[in-house]
Amino acid sequence: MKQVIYCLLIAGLIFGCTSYDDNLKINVQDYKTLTIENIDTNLKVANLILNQSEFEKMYTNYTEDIEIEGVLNLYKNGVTLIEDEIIEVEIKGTFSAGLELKSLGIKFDDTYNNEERKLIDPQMLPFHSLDRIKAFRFRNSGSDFENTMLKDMSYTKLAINASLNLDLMYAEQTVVFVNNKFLGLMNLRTEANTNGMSRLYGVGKSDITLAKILEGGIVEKKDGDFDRIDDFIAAIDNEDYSYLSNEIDIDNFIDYMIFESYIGNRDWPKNNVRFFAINDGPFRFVLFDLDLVATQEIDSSPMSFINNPIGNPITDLFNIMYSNEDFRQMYDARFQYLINSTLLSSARFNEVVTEYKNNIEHIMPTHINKYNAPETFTDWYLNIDHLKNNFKARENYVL
Amino acid sequence: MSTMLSFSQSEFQVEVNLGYAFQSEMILNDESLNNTSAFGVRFGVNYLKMFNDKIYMETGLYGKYNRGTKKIETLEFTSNNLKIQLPLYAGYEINDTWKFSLGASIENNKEELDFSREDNLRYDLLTKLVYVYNNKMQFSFHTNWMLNYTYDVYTISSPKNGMYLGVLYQLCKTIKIKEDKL
Repeated sequence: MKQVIYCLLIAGLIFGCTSYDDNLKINVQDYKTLTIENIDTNLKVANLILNQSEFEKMYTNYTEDIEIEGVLNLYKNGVTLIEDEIIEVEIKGTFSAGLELKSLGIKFDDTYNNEERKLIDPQMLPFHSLDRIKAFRFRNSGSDFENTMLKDMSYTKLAINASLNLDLMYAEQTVVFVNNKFLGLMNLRTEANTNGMSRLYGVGKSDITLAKILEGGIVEKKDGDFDRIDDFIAAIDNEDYSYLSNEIDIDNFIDYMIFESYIGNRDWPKNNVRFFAINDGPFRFVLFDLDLVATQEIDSSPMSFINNPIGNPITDLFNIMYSNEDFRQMYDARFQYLINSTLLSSARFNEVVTEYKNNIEHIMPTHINKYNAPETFTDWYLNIDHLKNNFKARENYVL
Repeated sequence: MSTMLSFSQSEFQVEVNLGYAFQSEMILNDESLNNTSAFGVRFGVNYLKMFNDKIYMETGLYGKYNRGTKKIETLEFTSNNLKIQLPLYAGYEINDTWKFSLGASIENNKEELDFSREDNLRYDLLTKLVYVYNNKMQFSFHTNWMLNYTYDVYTISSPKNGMYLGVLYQLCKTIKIKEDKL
């Protein structure tokens, strides 16, 4: 009898259902009849001209490495920005490739000249360049696809606005069509891979050494000087502070560790880490994949996020560096400065989220009607409020 | 040798309440909602155990349904919300007709099992005034007042406070007599 009662209690606490019926007071454009000619938006509109059957085959067999050719046209307010640029398209992502709207990797046949900022024109960090772009993505927002469609880019923009010393993926919200049929609202993102980093710094791909840390803290060497990556990991294993302090960009590492741990990225540092070096320069760390930030353990300290229970080289690297008095003072001073300056405050975060929300508010009902994700416009508003609340809760805890 | 008889009484009831859920202000999308209330139905089973002829405890398992229509500039929406509520009351039998109990309840905010988040659970202060109509039928005036801070994203569909009028039907009543030898 007691077991039955306990089961009922537990069942009771996880049971519940909430639904919303929307009656929108704004004009909703029907995705079935929407074209690049009749769409009403201030966002950039991309139209990918692809062989329809090849596209459908690629879309259906998304686990296979299928790449198809096509052309990209890009418009804004009816004005053509890019016309018939030859591209290669492939499905990107692992888990997120299973979603109904899939992320598309777009690779230019030749490096695209973006000096006039036609493809992407975001607010940028002063040490980056977007003059030449080899590849980019139309991202479906990953695990945030059914929630806000703006989470990762909002956290990234917060880091940009705070002028942190980070390498990251720039973003612009874009409406994407395939063969003049509405595909969905997507986020045009620059890449966080070797291509992306080489373009950000205006160097060749062969100048880049890049490695990843994958789920479980496994190091994957991707490009460049693999011996140097091995030496770097060996120095972490040997706790060789003097070697490591010369091998990493200290200012970048400090900002990277502060930001990831301050916002509370649960899917890090035992996963989603990329570090790279340009020729003999120091290793820098790339901020990317923030979809699972502040979802759990909001009331954990920044240090507990860094000291992830799953062993990984970044936690070890940090602890080696932090055990040095000079580094510790630099780290703590930078942390205090960023907190006191309010550069990472919830008020600033809310401004970013509101800006991105306002950008897509008019097209989101169309997107929701097509994908039922999130289920309703009300759910989307609630998810955005939830995003802000979670940031605020995290801020309250850390402060 | 003498003996002392002690009585242990318990009641098993079903209860249905109709009422009104409300809170002072609700914000969605940085806008105040025009309406911060909802129609409410509460239904469930209630178990009551007397400790002596005046004091009792009661608990149960309830479903709480709220429905409300609200509006902001871009949107009007109707919410439907069903949650399970687990109450625990301490009560006092004022006389043969009136009973009053005070308690607290726990219910989930989210529709997923995530106890790692402190905002997953909601706690309410409960009051319950009962009028005993006859052996089988009782009428109740029930209120709930949310105790913990919870974001409006959770309470828009299930407002913080509620007032309900209800009816209780007694399914069974058991009296156990215990004989203690002195």
